[in-house]
Amino acid sequence: MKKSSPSSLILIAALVLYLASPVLTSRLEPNDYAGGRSRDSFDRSIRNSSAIAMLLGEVRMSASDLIFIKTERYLHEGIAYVPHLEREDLTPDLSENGEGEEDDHAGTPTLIPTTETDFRGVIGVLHRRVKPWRDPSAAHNHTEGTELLPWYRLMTIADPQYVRGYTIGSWWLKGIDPEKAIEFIKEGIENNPDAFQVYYMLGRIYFEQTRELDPLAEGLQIRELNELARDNFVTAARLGLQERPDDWTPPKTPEEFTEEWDEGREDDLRGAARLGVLLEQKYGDSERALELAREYLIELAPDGVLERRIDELAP
Amino acid sequence: MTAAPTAPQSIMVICRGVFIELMRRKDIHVLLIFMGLYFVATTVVAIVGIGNPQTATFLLNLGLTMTWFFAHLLTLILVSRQIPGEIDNRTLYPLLARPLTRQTYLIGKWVGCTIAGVLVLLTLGLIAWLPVPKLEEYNTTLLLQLLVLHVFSIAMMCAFTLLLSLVSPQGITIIVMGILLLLGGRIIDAGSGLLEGSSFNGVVRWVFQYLPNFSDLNLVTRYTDGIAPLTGSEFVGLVGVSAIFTLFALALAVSVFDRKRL
Repeated sequence: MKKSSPSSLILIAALVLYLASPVLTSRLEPNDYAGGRSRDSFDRSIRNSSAIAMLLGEVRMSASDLIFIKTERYLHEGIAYVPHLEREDLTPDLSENGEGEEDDHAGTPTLIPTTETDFRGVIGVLHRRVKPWRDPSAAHNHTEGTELLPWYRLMTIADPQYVRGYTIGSWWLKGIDPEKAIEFIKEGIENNPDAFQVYYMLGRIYFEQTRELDPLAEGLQIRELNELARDNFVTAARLGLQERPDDWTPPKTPEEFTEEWDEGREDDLRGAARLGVLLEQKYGDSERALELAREYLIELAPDGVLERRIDELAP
Repeated sequence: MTAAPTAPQSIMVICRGVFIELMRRKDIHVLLIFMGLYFVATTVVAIVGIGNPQTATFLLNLGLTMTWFFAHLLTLILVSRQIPGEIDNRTLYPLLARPLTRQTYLIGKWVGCTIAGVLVLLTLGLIAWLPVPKLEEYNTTLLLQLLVLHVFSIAMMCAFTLLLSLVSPQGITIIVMGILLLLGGRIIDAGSGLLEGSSFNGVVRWVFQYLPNFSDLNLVTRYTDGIAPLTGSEFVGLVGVSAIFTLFALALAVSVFDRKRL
C-alpha cells in the first residue's frame, strides 16, 4: 500500500479544517457593533466641516458621504452645485393636511463658476459648455429621483449605519414600490435600532399609503396601516426624546441650530410626536392620546399643534 | 565536504533574498514617500493645533487605514512576482538544483514575504500613529489585538497570493487579491444575502464563507471608534480562522508547486 507523504497529510488536515471553517467564520463579526464615533452624526458633521475635510474636498470621511454628494448631482441633472441639500429638502415635507412644500434653491452657487466670477476666460466658457451647467440664479431642475435609488442602496451597503441613506432612499422608493420601501427602511431599523428617524420614516410611509386608499371600500386596511404608523411614530418620539440633549432649548431662528441637534432632527421629532398623538386619538384610546400629548409637551413646549390637541382631548 | 544546509537555514537564505528584492524595488520607497507626506502634514497640523478631538481621531483613522492598505498592497505586489519572476528570469532552476526541496523553497518565500510585510506594517504603523495627538480615549488592548490580527492578515495575504501566483498571471493575481482585500467583506455580505428567503440560502451563505475576509481582520475603525476590545473567544476565533485559511492556502500551494512542470 502506498504511504501518504507528510505534506499530503498536512494538506488533507488543512482541507478538513478549511471546509469546517464556516462554522466559526459565520459567528465572527468583529466590526458589527453598535455606536462608535465614525457613525455619530454629530462627530461626522464636525469632521466634515474641519479644515482637513475642506482640503480633501469631496473625498469625505466615508464612502457614504461621498455617495450622498453624488445623489445631489443626479438630482440636479448632473449639474454640480455646492452641496446644499439636507434631508428635509430631499423628502418634501408633508404637513398634516398633506400639502407639499417646494423650494427651488435658486442662488446656490455652482462648482463651475459663472462668467462674472470666472477668471479662466475661454477655458471657463468651454468648461461651462462641456459639463452640465446652469446659471445658479435660475431655479434648480430636480429629476424624479428614480436614478438616485441605486446610490442609496450603495451608500447603505457601504455604511449600514448611514441612517440618512435609509430614510431618504425609502422616501424616493415609496413612490415606485411602497413594499420595497418598507423592506428597505425595515433593514435600516434592523441596522440602527436606536435611530429614531428610521421609525419616523416607516411611520410616514405607512401613513402616506393610507392616502392612496378609498376610505369607504378599504377602511379596515386604512385602520391597520394607521395603527402601524402610530406605533412607529410613538417609538420614534420616545427614542428621539432620549436622543435630544437634555439642556436643549429651541432656537429662535433656523440659523441658530447647532450640529449636535439640527433642525431636521427637531422637525422629525416634533412630526413623530404630533402624528403619534393624532393617530392615537383617531385609531386608539383618547385618554392615552391625551397622556402622550402632555408627556411630549413637557419636552417640546412651546408646540401649538400639541397644545391644540390637548385642548381637544381634555375633558 | 560541507554538510547540506538544514531546512531552517535554507528558509533563512530565501528570506534574505526576499528582503534584498524588497529593498531593490521602488515600491517601498513610493509608499514611504506617501507615508512621509502624511507624517509631515500631520505633524504640521499637530503643531498648528488640531481644532477638535473628532478631527484628530479622523487623522488617526486615516493614517492607520493607509498603513493597513499599503502594507497589504506592498505584500501583494512583492509575493505576486516571487515565483513567476524567478521562473521568467530562470533564477529558480539553479536554486532547485541545490539540496533544496520545492516545499522548503515555497515556505521560505512565504516566511520571507510575511516578515517583510510585517516589518513594513510596523514601520508605516509607527509613522501613522506617532504624530497624531490622542485627544479621545482609545483602548490599548484593542490596539494590541489589531496589531496581532494585521500580522495574521498579512500572513494570509502571502499564502493566498503565492497560491494564486502559481496558477495565474501576475496581473490577474494582483487584481483578484486586490478585490478580495478591498471588497472581500462586502462580497461575502452581499453574496450571503443573494438567496435570502430561499431554501438554498444556507448553502449559499456557507459557500461565501470560504472567501478570505481581510476586512474582518481590520479593526482600525473599531479602535478609533473607541469600542471595547474583542472578547477572548472572538479574538482566538479570528486568529484561528486566519491560521486555518493560511495553512490551507499554503498546503495547497506546496502541493500545486510540487506538481508544477517547470
